[in-house]
Amino acid sequence: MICRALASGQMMMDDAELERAAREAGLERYLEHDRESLARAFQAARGYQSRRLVVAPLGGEPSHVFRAREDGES
Amino acid sequence: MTATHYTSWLDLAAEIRDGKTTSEAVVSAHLDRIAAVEPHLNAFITVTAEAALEQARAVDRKIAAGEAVGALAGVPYALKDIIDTAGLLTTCHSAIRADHVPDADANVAARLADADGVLVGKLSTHEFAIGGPSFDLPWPPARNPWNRNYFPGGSSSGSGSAVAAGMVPLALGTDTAGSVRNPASLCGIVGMKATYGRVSRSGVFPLSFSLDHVGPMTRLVAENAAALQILAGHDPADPGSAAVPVDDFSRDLAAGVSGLRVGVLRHFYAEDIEAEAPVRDGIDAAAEQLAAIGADVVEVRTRALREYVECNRVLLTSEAFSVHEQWLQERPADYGALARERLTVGAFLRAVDYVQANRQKRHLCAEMNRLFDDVDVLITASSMDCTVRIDDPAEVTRTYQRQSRAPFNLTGLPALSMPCGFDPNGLPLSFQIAAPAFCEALIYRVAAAYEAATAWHHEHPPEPQ
Repeated sequence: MICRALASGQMMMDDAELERAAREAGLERYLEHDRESLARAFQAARGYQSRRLVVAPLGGEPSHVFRAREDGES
Repeated sequence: MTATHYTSWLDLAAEIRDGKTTSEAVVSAHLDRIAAVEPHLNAFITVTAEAALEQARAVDRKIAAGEAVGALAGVPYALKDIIDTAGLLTTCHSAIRADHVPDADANVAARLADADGVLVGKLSTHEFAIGGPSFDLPWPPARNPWNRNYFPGGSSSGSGSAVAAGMVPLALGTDTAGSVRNPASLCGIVGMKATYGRVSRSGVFPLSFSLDHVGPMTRLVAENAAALQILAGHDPADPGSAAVPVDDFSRDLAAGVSGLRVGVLRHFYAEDIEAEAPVRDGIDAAAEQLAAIGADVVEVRTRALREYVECNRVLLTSEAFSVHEQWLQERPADYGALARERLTVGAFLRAVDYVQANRQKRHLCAEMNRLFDDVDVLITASSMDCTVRIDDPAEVTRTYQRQSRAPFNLTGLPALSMPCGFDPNGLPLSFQIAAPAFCEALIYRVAAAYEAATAWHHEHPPEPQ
């Protein structure tokens, strides 16, 4: 069951946050090349996180393996 | 233009096999067509004219010698340029791979060659099958043959453009969030994304391991079914390949839809996203047409479209960044702006986002599969908008996200896009048909019945000026 949306994350971002995120991802050259583009990618990820749905219950995992079967279940 | 350019590949193969024409003549005619039309459409990155004619003559020699030939029997085809071809440039439409020449054919390329098809070239795409129509890459973006000022869809843009314009009767595309079905929709042809695992991806440059599919693009439903017949089958080299029997996909093309239960996922395009009126009306009219020829058409509901699309997007961008991480770190300036930005979103998603998306995927798959307790197939929108001008990046970006193709990548279910009319600008409209896993023959049955009851497939783009 998909039960609730997570509370919205911090959507605003300052230069230090972007630079830290770029450094952690090894994207310093990208930051230097096109800072605005990298900021948009960062914000897009934050957007997905803020809209993410939490799935319950915990049973039935792992779910990360695609399980196609002939009976139509997947 | 000659009639050959819009002749079904099934008819061309039969005529070659029966000695009414030769593969060389058919391939030559298509190469002439490419020479005439390609400068207007930019569908190709590489045209392999000399090699194609050599291959065609080889097929003709086999036929003359009385040897059996494969299903394609000397018919020309082309491949999206993320599909490996031995000894032939495979660029992914990117400066990053501008000089890449693979050592071996992708499984699907080998299957088409083994069926005695003749490869006439490699087709343009959005860079690495993501991004959008970009003007900052080594090759220009493909254009829509119905009006070259308009976006042809993507990411298999060249595939859609080349087939619709009569440059080839068959092309392959790839589909991770709709990239076969989008250009099929906007170029007015038939595009199939079969069940996940039905067609091998080995030798195809990955975008997202758990969502990537390879699929055929043709002008007619019967051609598409016959093409999937060549492509389908287990491949141990692709860990996602399904070891399941391959159906006869053409067996029910003439069976009609009488008694079939068709579920319309109308809330996808009428509530979750409000499709433009011509799109909505076109799909509703297609549903009415299916009812008129005997289907039992009912409206069905599942989770909101946004849940499927966003879940697909989190998985896609996470996996895509894992593919491109090193290049994006070391040589970001070698990407086009659109692909660079879209590929990088995954850098900022966390492990927990990816894991939760996978958990959500399982539930969404179950939700979608439950619909098939009550109906045999589903129909819904492909694109929510009429196509837009290719030189309007804001409109391309806005409309790109407004689609209901991604749910079938996420669930792995087979889905086909086909034409259902024209918008006020004379550009194609489309709808999708989806079915339970490994029930592609059922989709083709419904699609063939709809095609037989309508005349959209008789229309071709105007000759480019």
